[in-house]
Amino acid sequence: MSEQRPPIEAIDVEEAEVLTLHQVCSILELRSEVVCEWVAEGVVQPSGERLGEWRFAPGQIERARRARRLQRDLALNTESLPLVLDLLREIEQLRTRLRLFEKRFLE
Amino acid sequence: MEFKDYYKIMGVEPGASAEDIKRAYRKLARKYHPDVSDDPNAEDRFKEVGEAYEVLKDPAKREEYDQLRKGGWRGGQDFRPPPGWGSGRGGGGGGGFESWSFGDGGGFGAEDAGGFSDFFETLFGGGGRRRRAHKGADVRARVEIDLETAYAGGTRRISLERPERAPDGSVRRKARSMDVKIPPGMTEGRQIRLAGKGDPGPGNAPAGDLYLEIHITPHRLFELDGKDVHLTLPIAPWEAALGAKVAVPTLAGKVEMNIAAGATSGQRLRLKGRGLPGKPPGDQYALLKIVAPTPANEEQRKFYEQQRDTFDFDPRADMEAKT
Repeated sequence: MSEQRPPIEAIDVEEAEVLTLHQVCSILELRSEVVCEWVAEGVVQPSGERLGEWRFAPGQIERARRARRLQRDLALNTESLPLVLDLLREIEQLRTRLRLFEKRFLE
Repeated sequence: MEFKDYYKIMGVEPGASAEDIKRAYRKLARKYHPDVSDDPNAEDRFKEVGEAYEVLKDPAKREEYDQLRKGGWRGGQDFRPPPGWGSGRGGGGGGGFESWSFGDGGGFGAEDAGGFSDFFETLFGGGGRRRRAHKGADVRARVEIDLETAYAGGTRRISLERPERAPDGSVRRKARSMDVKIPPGMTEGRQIRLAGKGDPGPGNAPAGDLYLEIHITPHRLFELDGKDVHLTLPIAPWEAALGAKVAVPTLAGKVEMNIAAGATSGQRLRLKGRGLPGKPPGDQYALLKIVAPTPANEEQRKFYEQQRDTFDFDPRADMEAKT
């Protein structure tokens, strides 16, 4: 097995790279029309003005993955996705803070 | 293996209509979706519900399942398929392999939901989830690191058990482990990617990627909020009253911090840039907590009495004024 090999370098997905539309479609196995619709609806937000200049930060890839899971599993429509994603993110942040404060006041 | 009661899992009657089943599934899926629920068992429940729905939504699968129930099988019994079961299906569906993948395949389920149960696989073969065969499946896994590693980075050995297809076409689980160098400044829930370390691609297609989701184990002293680090700092009453220079533990070792005279319990002091590294780095916050010593001898007791007589102090004065 790989006992003696040097450790594998991990890439920090949120900071290390930006991806083109083509790469995003390939990684997520989505058609470009779907990603374009998502951009138009605010599900994901690339940097860059024109389609050819779009660059997706890795945090956006995670958002897109989650959008795809939610759409597939819960049959959410595209228009509702940005709100759902924003609310889920906010709930996560609130849960973190809640845990923090609970711990502080219960100790 | 256990016979699964898919109707019970879905909370519907055996005679439920397709509409009822769909409605029940949507409701349970919303409740247990791993992206939505905070319940640690949510993912297992979601998988179970997804599996039940996969069978009950499909008239052909449901019919086969109902036949077994008519034969007397009930949830929880030790199930063995009747002789000749599935002989007419000619290896059907997705062939079993894809159903294990965590990857980006289409079909049911959260992509990290793993596969269906042995019970399902025995009855229906692979879940019929096919991926397009131009790249191996991406694999997702959790990795737990301590706060020190999150701060400074470090190497962690991770082990994965993945299905692998043998030359004879059978699928076996194979464990592999690798050392992974984790970059500094990881926060809770952060993803890191190991290019080409997912499942091998079919034929000459490239392998998928391995995504690791970082989880930071609780620390004895520090609490994390994103990149910020919180610490409760106990101080003596005289340090609070008179001011003091105290040593505060940080992830990079102890630093000296000035406490101004008249500090109060619950006051929060910031050590800029002393949180997790990043651009910009997080801060450390020290929450002051005044701790009064219990008098251990007569001299100390007298000292408290002297304080009581010296200070005209009622800490509850505010409460009384309002009630």
